[in-house]
Amino acid sequence: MIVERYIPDFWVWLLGPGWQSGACFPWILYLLGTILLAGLVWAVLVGGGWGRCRFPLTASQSRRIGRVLGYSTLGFTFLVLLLMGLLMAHQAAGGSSAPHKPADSSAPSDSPPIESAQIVSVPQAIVRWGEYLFGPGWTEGAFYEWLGLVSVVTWGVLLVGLLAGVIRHGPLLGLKVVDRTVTDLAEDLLRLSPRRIGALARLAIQEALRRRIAIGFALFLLLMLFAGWYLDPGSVNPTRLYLHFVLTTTSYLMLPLMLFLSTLSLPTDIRTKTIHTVVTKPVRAGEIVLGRVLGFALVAAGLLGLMGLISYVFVIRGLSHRHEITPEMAAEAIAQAQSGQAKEFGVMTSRVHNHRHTILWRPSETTSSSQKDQTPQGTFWLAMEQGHTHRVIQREDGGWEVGPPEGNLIARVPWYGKLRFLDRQGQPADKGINVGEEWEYRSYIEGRTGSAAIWTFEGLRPERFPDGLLVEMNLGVFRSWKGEIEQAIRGSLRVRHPTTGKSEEVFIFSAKEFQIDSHWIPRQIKGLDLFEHFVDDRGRLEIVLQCLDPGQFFGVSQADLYIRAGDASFVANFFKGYVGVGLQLLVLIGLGVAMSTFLSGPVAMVTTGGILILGFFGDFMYRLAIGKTYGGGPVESLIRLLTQENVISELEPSPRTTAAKMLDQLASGPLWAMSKILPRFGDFDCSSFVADGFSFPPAMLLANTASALAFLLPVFVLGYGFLKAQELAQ
Amino acid sequence: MDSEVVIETRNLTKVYRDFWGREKVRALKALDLQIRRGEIFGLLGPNGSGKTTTLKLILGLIFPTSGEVLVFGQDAREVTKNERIGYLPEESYLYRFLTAEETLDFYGRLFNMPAMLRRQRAAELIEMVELGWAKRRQLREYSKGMTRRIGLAQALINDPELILLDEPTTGLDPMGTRWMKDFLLKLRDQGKTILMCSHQLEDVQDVCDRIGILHQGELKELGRVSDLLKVREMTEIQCSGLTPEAEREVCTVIERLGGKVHFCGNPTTTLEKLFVRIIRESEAHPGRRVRAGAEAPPTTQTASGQESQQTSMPSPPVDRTLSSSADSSGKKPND
Repeated sequence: MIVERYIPDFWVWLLGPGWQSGACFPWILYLLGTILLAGLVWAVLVGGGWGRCRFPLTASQSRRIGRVLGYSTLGFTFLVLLLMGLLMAHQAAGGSSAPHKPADSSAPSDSPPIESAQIVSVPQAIVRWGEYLFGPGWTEGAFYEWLGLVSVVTWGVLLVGLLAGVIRHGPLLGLKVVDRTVTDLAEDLLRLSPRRIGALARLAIQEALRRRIAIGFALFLLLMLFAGWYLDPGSVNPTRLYLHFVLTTTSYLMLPLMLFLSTLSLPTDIRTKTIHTVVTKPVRAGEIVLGRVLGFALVAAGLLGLMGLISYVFVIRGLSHRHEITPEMAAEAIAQAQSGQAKEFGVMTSRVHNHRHTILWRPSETTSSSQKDQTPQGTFWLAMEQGHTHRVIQREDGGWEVGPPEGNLIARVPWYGKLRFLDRQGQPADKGINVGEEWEYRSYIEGRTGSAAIWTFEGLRPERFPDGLLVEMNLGVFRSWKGEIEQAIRGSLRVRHPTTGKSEEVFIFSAKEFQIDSHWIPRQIKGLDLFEHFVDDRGRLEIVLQCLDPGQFFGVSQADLYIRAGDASFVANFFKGYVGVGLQLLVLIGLGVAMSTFLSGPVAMVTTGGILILGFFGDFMYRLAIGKTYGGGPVESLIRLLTQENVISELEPSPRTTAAKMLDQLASGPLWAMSKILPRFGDFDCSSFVADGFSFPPAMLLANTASALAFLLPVFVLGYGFLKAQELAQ
Repeated sequence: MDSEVVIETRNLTKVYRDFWGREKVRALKALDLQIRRGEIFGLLGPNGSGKTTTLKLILGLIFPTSGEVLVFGQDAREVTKNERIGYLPEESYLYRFLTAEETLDFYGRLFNMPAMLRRQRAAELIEMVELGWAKRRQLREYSKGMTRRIGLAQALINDPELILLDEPTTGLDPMGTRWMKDFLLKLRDQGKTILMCSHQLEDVQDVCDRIGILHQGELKELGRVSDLLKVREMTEIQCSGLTPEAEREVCTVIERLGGKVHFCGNPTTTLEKLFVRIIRESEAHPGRRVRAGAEAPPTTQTASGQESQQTSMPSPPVDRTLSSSADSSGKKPND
């Protein structure tokens, strides 16, 4: 499972790695937050006319307030742009934007110390004051990146609008139009009415229901009814198969449905002129946009909830099965138990869903003397197979009954460490060996050399892990003929103190490919306590993995080895998967409604659908823009396609190649901007977590929610602006 | 702006342009207009004269190219002015998937009306437009007349001071038209201001206090209906109880006094009035055939000189179009 985007801490993601060490940031944050909240409450009470809390603001008062708010926002975004520009210039000149002081104070700082008497440039001063206020690494936070993007877009739209106004109306009138737009926007936002938004949301829901949106749901039900014929519960990993199926089906059904609803609703109203009876009421453009988004979001949430429930029942029923333990099997197992043989009897259950389980015996801990001659006390248990096991219960009539599957529907809580490598000589290296695989997700360590993969874990406390650490691995294996190619590859795991270097080998194992392999690091390792001797006072521990077989390789990535910190609720995790789909739908709905404010229905649908598809390739676009893909940019790739060149070798130098590279250079800027501005729909998807049995981290869910809302805010403003500026009756 | 002036346009111009900014149609040219509180103002004109454009500019649905529109002293694009206006569009553009109750509830919410008031008002309006029997049916099942009535109800949901109507009687049968006109007069009597655009000249004539006539975007005529329609060169006397001999003697007296008799005979009523009267009498006496020539009580003159049309009684035969038709027994009038 790939966790390249794993976010361990929401606030670090939002505000940068050093936010807690900012000198006065928390107080500024609390003060600003309180002012903002008070202002928002006041604005809603005043502007929305909520019940008896209405204060009589005259039209000129509200316009004045709107003007102040509007121009303050513009001024703030201008300052942000200025700051961004200075910091980028500082970076380009070779200074670091915000030297991040790593947690380990023994590591050298990136920038040389600056003495107080030394003259500092403006950007350097900004960086220092920023660190003082917000902590080191302050510009790395997602919030600041969002602020920068919003400021760029705001001023971009403002300048384009100003230019259009000046061309159309002349300089003075053009400025007046822009002034009016800015003032109106702020005033309208102040006067948004929750009741009107609710009425419009309710209308959107009624529209969706009466336009037979239930057909989409009926289609889903139909798929669930017949899917059981095609999904094989006897496959290698049926849990993954079923979970992936239900989440993917839901996503693939809901995305087009919401695309249609959100993009066609407003243009239909404009075409049929029903919007005329709405906008001639005291309804603001922002309320129309928000009401529709809210209404469709509620429809999506309702449908998702229903689909989630049905999917859950489908998964449970689909995976449910029971094996049989016949009296003969039970008798043989008991006979072997009486003879005191080893736990694994070799007796197998009946075959169901293309698998059987080995019957295991667990003796009870206490045996009274009176029971010595009687049947040994204990319980039967079934060995893990296809990722699950079963409980065996003795019936009243003496027979044995196998319970439903257990352990297949789980949500592991992984505790990830930071990975680094040692080369063949045991020296630190940036990455491991490249064995020639195209997909460079894993790096390899060679067997029987100094080569090693070392994970450093932090925050390990004995209270959290009193019994030791359960380590799980999902290693890649590369075999070569230099070694014994047909045997399982052996490896060793050792623990090491990060400061003293004291280490001890914990176990040797045979690597299991394509499945998760679990091992315990016990509390006591050869008489030494794990936390006393191998974990430092900051809770750090190093786990060293080496391959033991010469000529063979282990492939590892950061997420391939982790400590299983526990299990979260599978049901909660399952529904988190639907929350992920819900966030995708929310962003899509916001985008669709905004596009439909100025485009006709079909055009809005195609545009939004195009953004949806591009959004799934956001990461690829970013790598294309920064030149981290094979085969060059779009134009060069096209040439390679047409001339059937491979993506690795350089093109022959020619004017055509030069022109292609120049065009790609030109395209990289817009590509980079698009990859930053367009929503990355794939990032909201957490179905792979659910299907692979990993708990979707709350920090990531928070980050995804914040990303969705952060995207919706400027989209709403754009939609509002377009709707307000439009002559609806033209 | 005078507080009595509800709508004022100053040099209002609207030019429709294409995508490239080239002028396509000059729909309005420097329109100056004032509509006062408590009057019914009719905006007339042929197709393409700019009536609907004017209405849309007043409502803020489109923006002026130059000039300004003020409604209650505020710019037409101010959303807050909409709290005091009601609008009935030409085709009652309503959400067809809603029922009548849901429609009025929805529009009531848009005015931030509390739930109790909303329910009460919706019930009153449904009762007023006589749609109680169909209030739970979706609007897609309504006839044109029913849709117009619910459209009127939504325009009145907020008890507006100013009501804008675009072709209010279009598509209505004569009974519905009569009902609409009587209702508009009632609203005027309650102190509301009404602006209506219409092609139906008879309807405008029946209800409007003042009219404006547009042609190719320009205001060609403006004034009180009674003043504009007065044929100053003619004198009309209506009386009853005269024998044919008395009629002849009256004509002789007029000619002796220097006048010229253009027409002397029985006046004609309008087809609408006849229709309405017959239908009402049929409803009152089912099964009995009503004679077209039956006498009707005389009209009563109001202080303004306009005839007062009573909704519950049949209309009297009054010929208001002296130059329009020939009488079967009298002389043909001169133009």
